Amino acid sequence: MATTRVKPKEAAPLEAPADQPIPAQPSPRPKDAPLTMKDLREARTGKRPSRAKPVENVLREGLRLERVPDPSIVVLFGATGDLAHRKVIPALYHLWRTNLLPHEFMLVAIGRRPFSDESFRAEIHTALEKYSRVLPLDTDAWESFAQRIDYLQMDFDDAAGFESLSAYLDKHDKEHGTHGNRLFYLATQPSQFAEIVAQLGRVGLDHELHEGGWRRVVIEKPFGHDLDSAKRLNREVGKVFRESQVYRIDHYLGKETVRNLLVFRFGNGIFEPLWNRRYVDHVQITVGESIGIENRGAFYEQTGASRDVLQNHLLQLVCLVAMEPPATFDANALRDEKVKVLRAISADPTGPKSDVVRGQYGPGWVAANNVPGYRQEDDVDPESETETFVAARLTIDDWRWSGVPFYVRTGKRLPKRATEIAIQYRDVPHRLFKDEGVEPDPNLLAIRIQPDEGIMLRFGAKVPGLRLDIRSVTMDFTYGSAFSVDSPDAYETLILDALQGDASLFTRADEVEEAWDIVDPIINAWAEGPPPTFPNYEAGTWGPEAADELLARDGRRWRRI
Amino acid sequence: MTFTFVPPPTEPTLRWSARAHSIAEVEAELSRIWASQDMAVRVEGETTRHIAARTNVMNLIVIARRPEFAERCAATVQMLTGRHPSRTIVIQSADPDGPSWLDARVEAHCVMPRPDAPETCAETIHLTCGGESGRHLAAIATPLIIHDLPVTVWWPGEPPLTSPSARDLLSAADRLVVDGSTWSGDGLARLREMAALGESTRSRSATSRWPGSRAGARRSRRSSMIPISSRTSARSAASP
Repeated sequence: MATTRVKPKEAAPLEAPADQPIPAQPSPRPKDAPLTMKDLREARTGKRPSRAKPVENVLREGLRLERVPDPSIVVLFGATGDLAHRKVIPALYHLWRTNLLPHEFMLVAIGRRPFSDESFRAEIHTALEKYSRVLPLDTDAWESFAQRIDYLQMDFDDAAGFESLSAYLDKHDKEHGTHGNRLFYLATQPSQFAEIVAQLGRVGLDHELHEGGWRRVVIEKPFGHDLDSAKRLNREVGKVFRESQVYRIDHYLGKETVRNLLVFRFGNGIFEPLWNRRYVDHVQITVGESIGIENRGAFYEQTGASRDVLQNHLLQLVCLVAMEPPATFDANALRDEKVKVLRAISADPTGPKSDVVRGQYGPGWVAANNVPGYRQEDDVDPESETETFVAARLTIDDWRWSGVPFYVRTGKRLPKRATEIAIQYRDVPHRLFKDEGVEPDPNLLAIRIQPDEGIMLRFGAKVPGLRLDIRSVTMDFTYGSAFSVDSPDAYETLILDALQGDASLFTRADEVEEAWDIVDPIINAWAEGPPPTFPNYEAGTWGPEAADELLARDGRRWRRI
Repeated sequence: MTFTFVPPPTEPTLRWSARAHSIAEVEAELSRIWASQDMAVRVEGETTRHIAARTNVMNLIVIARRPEFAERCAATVQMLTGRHPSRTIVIQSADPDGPSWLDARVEAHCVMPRPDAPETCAETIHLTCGGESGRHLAAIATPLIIHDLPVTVWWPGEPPLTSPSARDLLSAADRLVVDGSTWSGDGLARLREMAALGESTRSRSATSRWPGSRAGARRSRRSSMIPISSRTSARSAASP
């Protein structure tokens, strides 16, 4: 071959300056110079690996034992708040109870209210008796768990407080052998996220140590209240933590059926070929709540259904239904695909044929209870224009979904609490039975996320008898009856994932921004338009009439749920 | 030509019964039924116990203004479990002027369609609504219906078809079963009311023809089925 290069057997001697004697040895290699392949091999031969490998328990091989996370400290900001009491601490307790937390574990609870360790533990005990998934509490598990809870009273803008927190955590690392692994969980008001993250950075609590010792931060929703604020928060967090250290929680993604959606789509061969515009007529996603705003009037006034549910839960569900199969089951591969969907979504909120409908409930009856209208709730402006219902017709402009509308809706005070995804398949191409006067309904695949998690497929079957008659029948799969184990709570799944460093069920910075990029124009269009005529639906009904018209316009209707 | 004898389905047996005092509790009970070991699992090698399957072909809402209606209808529906399993919601009202309260009994009845066939089960929910809640029938029934199944309302006695409460309930229903023989006064006016109902809701519903329900209705001789969704509503109402 003409271009073959022959490597000289020895490197050419360096040319030394004339006024210096030629060194007897070749000059030492610069520190950062790459090694040649030969050096690399020689450096390795005869050398043992530097650190002893942890001994694997051979009896574990082939068993599906859950991996227990590394020894670690969870630092919970906002520990006296509602979210911590209802969700985060009960989830940690359950993980502890089922031996999924490491033995070397600490929960450092931080709040602004005065508590001693003892009184805070007592408070948590009361909360667990109310909110725990499994009752009665396991006394032994609780005793040992309570030992691991410490309470620190601190203001989140108190610089000295963070310095002492840092020293405190270092001390605990030594005493409890937690190896410097720390998970900072921000369950505070969203307005405090940036402040806390900045303080953590200032005292160096974000630095990951050389010999292990990871630092992660979990941030609750809402992540920003529009595109600008989300970008700003991303920037603030990005100044301190690397993206791989940041875990933005959307608890919907931790739900068993949502995770099963990935298994259903990509672990089965028969559904994915039918999962496109050729076979699917449209998709409907409903996130319905029968409850009202539950004393959170002040919060809801600033939020509304589009920010509270559409921007996060609903769009996440759309992503999981519409995304392409990722190449690997790796956090970034998965999130890359979701971001692609978000970029392809569009909805036109303007004009008479707007793709978005909003509503607000008035007084009515929900499940045998007389409930007040939204404007009559506490801490709500009697002239409020905040939407408690939003429905949208989303189009996803990509190769797979072009021309297939995704109808999504969410609202408060709907007739029932139900979250469902329905894939409505197309009609048969040729009506074979039209002469018999029967027309089978098109197939439907419904994935129910709550309550009664499960999957249902509807198809036509012949009714036994001499005549030809077709009736829709359903094949039902319900989690409750198929697996006789309890599904874990979403928070348990997500906290365990964060402790293990698996970010696949958490939202990435660009994902959050893309989602706001869809919701922002909708909110802006409303802000620019005339005031809405609220209330426009009665509590206990499926939203305003305009939501029905949104589908009727395309000759479709909402499923009966 | 040979005929094989098909024995009639066994008598329904009560497999589950629980009480509840709110719609949320009823929902919790309904999901508990199918998670319970007793209902769903067959022990290996055991031949006497078959797998219970949940088989509903429709939602049946019975509006019973009087307790004896409720009992009679529930008994009829139970007899039909084998042939025509449905989620049955029996709504009774009591003490209309008192405070609002709710009392519910959730039951599951199972039958073996044939001795060698697996058991099929269907749920019955008896609701007694006190106070004003009894006047908001749609609010009570909607959370309990099974999705994507047709909804039939069976309304013995004289249904107040023009009341807002009835209108709300029927707007979400596919069919209405009434018993014309017990009506008093001008029957023609009633038929007109019902015809109007069929007209106003026809566009909402697209259920196809549905013969099983007729087999079910045949047992209660005097009832007429009003398919709200089809043009034939006036005709079938007038036929008996």
